[in-house]
Amino acid sequence: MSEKATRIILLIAYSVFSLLPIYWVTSLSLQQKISFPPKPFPTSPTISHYVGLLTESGVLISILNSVFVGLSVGFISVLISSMAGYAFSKLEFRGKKFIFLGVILTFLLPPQLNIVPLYSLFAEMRMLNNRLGMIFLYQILVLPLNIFLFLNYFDTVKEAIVESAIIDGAGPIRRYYKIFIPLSKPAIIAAFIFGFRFSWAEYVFATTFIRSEPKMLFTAALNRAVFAGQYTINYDYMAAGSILLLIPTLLVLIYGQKYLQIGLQLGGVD
Amino acid sequence: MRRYSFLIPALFLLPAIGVLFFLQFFSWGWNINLVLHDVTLMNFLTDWDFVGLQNFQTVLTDTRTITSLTNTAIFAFTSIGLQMIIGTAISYLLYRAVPKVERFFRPIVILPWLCSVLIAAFGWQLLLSKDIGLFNMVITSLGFGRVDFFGGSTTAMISIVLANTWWGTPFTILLMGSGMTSISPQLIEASKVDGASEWIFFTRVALPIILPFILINLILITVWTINMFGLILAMTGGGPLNATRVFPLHGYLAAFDSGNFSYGATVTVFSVFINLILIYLYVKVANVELV
Repeated sequence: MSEKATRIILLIAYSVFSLLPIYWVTSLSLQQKISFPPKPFPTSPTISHYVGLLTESGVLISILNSVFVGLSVGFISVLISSMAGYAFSKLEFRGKKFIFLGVILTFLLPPQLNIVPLYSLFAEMRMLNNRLGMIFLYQILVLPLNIFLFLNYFDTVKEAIVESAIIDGAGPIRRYYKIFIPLSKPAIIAAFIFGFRFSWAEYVFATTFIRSEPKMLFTAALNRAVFAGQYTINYDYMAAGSILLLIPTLLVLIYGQKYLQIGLQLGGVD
Repeated sequence: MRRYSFLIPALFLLPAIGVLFFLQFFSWGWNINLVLHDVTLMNFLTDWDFVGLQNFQTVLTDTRTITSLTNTAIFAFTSIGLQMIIGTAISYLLYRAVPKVERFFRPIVILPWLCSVLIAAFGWQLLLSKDIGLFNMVITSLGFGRVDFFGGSTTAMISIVLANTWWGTPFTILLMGSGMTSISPQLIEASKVDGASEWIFFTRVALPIILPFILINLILITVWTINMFGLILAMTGGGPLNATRVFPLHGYLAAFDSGNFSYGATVTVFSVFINLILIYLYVKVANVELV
């Protein structure tokens, strides 16, 4: 066998591994009755598991909560991370390296690391069981990445444009919103997508910080619906819920891949 | 660039940096507070008893701590090994593929990383389930008995490693991919002329070039793997019989399952310490530029 054929076969093998859970979840979510042995394909597909999950108490509202939190996190993080990225990229000041090191640290440290003290702090601030509290908390998931993204994006803006603005008498604040913000549509979209995506998908904080039903986020409500029975797992909900969780990701992959790529490049990941 | 006095940079930085440093660093300070007191689910909003360093003793003499550290070592070692090997191999294959093939496979191999860890947990739970799993369907159709992957300690560990490898490998593919681009196409041509096989080219030419990327990648995925517990929490909850209770999950369960916040906070102290060492290595190896 030629080396080229071997390479393709290996890629196909990995792709099967990569797609297998998604395939299986999709297949199960559409099967009439989930029992052993399962069918490899849904023979007569049904959406009854989706209907069942969505009509389960608290699930539909949790989706709305997650959308609300996700959009807010996206919006706020774009606003404040573009400001910070601008300061790091275009302003000189004392202590810059030191503060930047703190941002790198936060970028590298996994956010769940601090869950115990954060829980206690949020309790003190009366911000548990609170959607606004989650919008605040979720900034830690996305701010470092978005700050890097804007910092790198602003670095690419041509000096000449900035200089002509300085000659026109525009100060640093004016330059930020008159020049940099209008120029950075791709970075804004990428940062917004990150903000939404990370909060939509987050699960550990969501299940721990909000326990009262009408305020729950989708990952938490889904987890609760799946494990509602003491000794049984609701596989119907597990499968259908995973697909619902996946939808925004797929939308991004289909419509927003360009921005995702820009974002990953600027965020220094790719 | 003009240097600004404190006011204007502070105006731009404060919202983001204030939020970020509060959540990250202020919470570390608060954590010390939890460690030095006896804080439980019962009293966490009222008065705390000062206990000094007693919580360290409690954590260090708990046999579950040793178990969880061993579990973390097994989980991390196997996950990281698999991610490194598979991820590097796939990114090399993508690099050597013609653009059309590369464009076809790239979104497919990246997809898991874009998924929530909850999808990784649920997807693999459904694949491996004794009740409805695809794997058990295949196993029984071959004439063997069903395997309860989440019932045995070794198989449960294998399950979480599989799920974590599925979820994490795309990052290595992405990062090694950017390393591969620094291999010049002339080198490939030259080795073809010399009649070197693919394997010789990969090991003798490509690997040394991408070695710095391998190191950086190794440190990054080590940080993420030893801290990973959301996936495990959703898949096994640490069971059966603590067989998948990794170190950060140990702290989490102590705080939120048993209600002992100070215990969880003490585990956090150890975690932070280990993480800082790794990140120090990262900053040294990656030669991180500080703006």
